[in-house]
Amino acid sequence: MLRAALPPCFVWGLGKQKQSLCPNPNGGVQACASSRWSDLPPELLGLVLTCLHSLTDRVRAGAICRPWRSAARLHYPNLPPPMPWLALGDEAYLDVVNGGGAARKLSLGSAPDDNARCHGSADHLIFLTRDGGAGGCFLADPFTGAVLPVADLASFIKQQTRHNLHVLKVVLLWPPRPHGGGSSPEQPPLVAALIKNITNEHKTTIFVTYVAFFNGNLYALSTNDQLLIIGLGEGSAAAGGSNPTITGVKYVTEEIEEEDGTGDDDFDYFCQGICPAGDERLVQSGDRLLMLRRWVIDDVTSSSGDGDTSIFDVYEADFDGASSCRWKTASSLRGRALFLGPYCSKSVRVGDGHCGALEDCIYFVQHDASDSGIYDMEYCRVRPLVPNIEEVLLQVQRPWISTWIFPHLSP
Amino acid sequence: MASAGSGDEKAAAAAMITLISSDNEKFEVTEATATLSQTIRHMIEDGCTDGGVPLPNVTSKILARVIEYCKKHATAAAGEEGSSSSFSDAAFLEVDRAFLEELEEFDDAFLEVDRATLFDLILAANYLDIKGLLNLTCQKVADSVKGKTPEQIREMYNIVNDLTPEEEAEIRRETQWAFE
Repeated sequence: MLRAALPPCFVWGLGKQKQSLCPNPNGGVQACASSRWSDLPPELLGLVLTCLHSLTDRVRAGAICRPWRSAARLHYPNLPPPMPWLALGDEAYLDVVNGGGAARKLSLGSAPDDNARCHGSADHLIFLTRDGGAGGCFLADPFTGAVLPVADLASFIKQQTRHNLHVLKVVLLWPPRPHGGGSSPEQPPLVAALIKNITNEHKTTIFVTYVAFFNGNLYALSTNDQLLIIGLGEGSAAAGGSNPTITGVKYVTEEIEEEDGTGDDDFDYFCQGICPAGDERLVQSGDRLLMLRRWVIDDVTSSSGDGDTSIFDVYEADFDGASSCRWKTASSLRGRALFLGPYCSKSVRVGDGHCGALEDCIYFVQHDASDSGIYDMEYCRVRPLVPNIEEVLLQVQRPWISTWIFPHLSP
Repeated sequence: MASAGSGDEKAAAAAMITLISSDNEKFEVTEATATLSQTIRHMIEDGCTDGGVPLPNVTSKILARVIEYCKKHATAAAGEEGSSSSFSDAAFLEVDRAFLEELEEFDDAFLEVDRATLFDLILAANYLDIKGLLNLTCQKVADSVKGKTPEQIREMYNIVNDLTPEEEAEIRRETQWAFE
């Protein structure tokens, strides 16, 4: 493939006698004071960039010299996604590759001011509100500073003045990309927000703890781990625009059906002094919808009542049944990795040049990143996300919730 | 390989190919070793290897290293193929792991070269189309720049910063966070 893209004689012309045939795409012949490395053929530099999973490393490699810069700019759009970052606070983001180090400073643009609070993230965007949402809701890209206002959500929250609303989680559904056209401006996503209402006036309320899009449909998890599908329909023009409205809510599963033997696991867990955290998460992983149950060390001395995360049980929604589906135990992530948190969860493809995360591992973070780690499903063990997370957290000046962010940058 | 009869396969394994470096040094290698290079494999398939394969772009010093790599990896590949049928699963896994560990150690030692040699190995691996060697050498470069500042990378690879002040300013403006 590489040979086809660049004839060997051209490659060799660069390699052997750099002062003779040094065609420069910008015209003219390169000044040749530096070593041959500055003229590493662009295709080969592309291979090197593919091996760099940290966005910081990629950006720096593109700032070495002019040939490396043009090669990097050529390859950026086609590189596999870099490793996600952990947003820890206003202007504090941690690149978890290469052992972490210090949190980096990113700015969120000017629209969300100092009063804006982070309520989570989705893909490459941080979700921010001002005055709990009534003063504005925004999706901001910390890498570019671009800000997308979510005006309809803000006006909805503003209207509900009698209730004390609180946004728990935001999920996005991106419209399919037009074929062949990567250059057209990105269509805004459909934003679904899970909002907590302090006062409850309805007897028929279904309590929902987590939401996720799966194959274009919105799913929610009830407090007793039942899966619900939220029907979305086109909004009527009379209701003020074409925003989708919720047309219905339907149960799709029964309660967890324990397979033979899993009850013993639970008993073992209790013997080991661990208990369920009660904060199940839902996430699309490839072509599967997964539910994750977290187990924590039963720590009575802990101030929050919760000990550190110890184990994850993974269940897969089995839609094989005609009308309803059931949860069945999943023993692996099928070569993917999960990035899990209360405010953002996402599954990524790993291996074979994809994201540098480890296969069948769950990178988790809780509200406070001091409970975070990499859970290996094969060995059922947790190891630290970065060696010095406590030190990093101490340095964060204006901390907020911890949440994943998936860089999306083509400089 | 699998489609050929076992007799042909043995004959093919024993066939020798002569590779000729840019400084006219001749290297006799088995066909199994030589065909790790897709470029040479195609030449063999086209029947144009009689009288040796001239490689005007590869010096004898680099060709010797490339052959060292191919020999090791060709042996490992042959051993793996042979073992799959004759060992029980557990024994096969054990052998497999031993092979992989040995190969990894070999690769690590193989990459203990100066930067100029590394550069020549990358170009040779690309020219000869040896995927494993190309990935290995590019990964080595990537590992060496991880966590480094542009200044450190330039110093390491003796690269002169020829970016204009305007380009520098543009990079800083777009991605200031990467340089703090």
